[in-house]
Amino acid sequence: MSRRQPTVSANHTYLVTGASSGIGYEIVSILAERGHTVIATGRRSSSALPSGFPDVAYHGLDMAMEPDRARLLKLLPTQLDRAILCCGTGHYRPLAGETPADIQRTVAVNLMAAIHLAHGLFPKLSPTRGRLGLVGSVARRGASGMPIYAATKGALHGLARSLAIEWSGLVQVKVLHPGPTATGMSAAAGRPADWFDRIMLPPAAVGMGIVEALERGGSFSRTISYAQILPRLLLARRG
Amino acid sequence: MKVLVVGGASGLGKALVEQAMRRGDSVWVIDADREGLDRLDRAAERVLCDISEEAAIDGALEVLRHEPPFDLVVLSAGISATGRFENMDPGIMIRVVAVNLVGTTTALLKCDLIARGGRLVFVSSLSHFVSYPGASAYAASKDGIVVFAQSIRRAQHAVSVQVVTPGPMETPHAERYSPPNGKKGSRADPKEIAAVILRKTSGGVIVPGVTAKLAAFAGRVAPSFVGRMMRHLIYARL
Repeated sequence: MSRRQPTVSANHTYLVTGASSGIGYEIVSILAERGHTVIATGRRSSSALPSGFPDVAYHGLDMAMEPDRARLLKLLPTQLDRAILCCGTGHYRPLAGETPADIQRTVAVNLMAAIHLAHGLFPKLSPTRGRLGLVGSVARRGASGMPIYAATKGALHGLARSLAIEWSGLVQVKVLHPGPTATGMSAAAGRPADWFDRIMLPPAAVGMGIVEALERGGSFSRTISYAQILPRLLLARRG
Repeated sequence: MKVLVVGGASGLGKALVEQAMRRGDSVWVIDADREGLDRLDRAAERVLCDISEEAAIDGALEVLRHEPPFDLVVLSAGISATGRFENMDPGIMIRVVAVNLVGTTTALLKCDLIARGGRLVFVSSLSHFVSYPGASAYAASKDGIVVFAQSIRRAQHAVSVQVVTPGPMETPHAERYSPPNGKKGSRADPKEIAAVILRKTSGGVIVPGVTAKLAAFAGRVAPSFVGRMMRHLIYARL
């Protein structure tokens, strides 16, 4: 596939969370191939990473845990150009199927980590006029099959909206909402497999969409949908 | 009618408790503020509970589960944290999410105490429509509440789920978190918002009051203009 052209843009230093699988993994692969410096983190330990994982700095840390988040902030360099927070978890089930511990964990990974990391990343991103990307979901408008997950993604949208105003001119904040993506998260979340899995967005294209949407100007919020990635998919097929 | 107000010891929750009692409802109140509970009318049943602690919710349930179900449950407990995001203690912002989002949803998960045909009302904020620079974690938690309410509405057939988005009110909450030289006159009376909640038995998202409705409309049609206004009116004064 010719989807990745070598770019002439400057080498940037990126932080990517949730990098050990799914969209985060794809983003790290794209960035590494483009020659950017990447610091990646995910819940898996380094030894449990997928075999094709690119040769970048990786730290096995759990973003649900406050001490792990603090450790990540400590080991990062003093300056960063970009941070993409992909870490996310959730369950495909109605409220009655949730447990207090799962609610706590879902909110901790999807929202509390974003607040904690955004706070700690500000002094690193502001000297470079950097950019902070929060990975949301189209579920942020509400989803009866997963109310807690949807609530955390709606909350991320609200966080980005207000924070983009607070930090305007200092750090660009964006929330990027992918549609359902074929990452295996759906199955892991307990959603029964059906025809819908076949039309889910390809993770590599979504990763590319997120990396590029973060570089654009305009609104604080962007949706990564088929309409956006289809032209590239068709071109890639032909090439 | 039987009413349960979570966060009923002060502000909007307290106004709700008072009005519901005045119209003859039997009222239960849950709150983490012991002194606030003590100041309420003795006829209200009062339960001390911090909804951000699971064990405390279990304790409150021990009292409540023997009651017949409620016709109206209002989840109005919430805290805020205002200031420039980068200058605030992240632990305090995370605590806002722990109370407003984790606490509210966990309390609801554990307390399935609403009668068939009853109403469940969440209290969000006008920030859902206009943003809230200077309280970004709070704004996040309140957006989460709106989306949560919208999500469970479709699965709730026997109970109507509503969410109210009040603007600034003349309450201890606003006193605590607003810019020091904020205009008090522009804040709404919590009694009026409480009256809207008791009266409006239909509609999903309730924007109470004319000022809030206008602001919500403006926030929808011209979000970036309203964002700049919010920055100027609130954030620049913090």
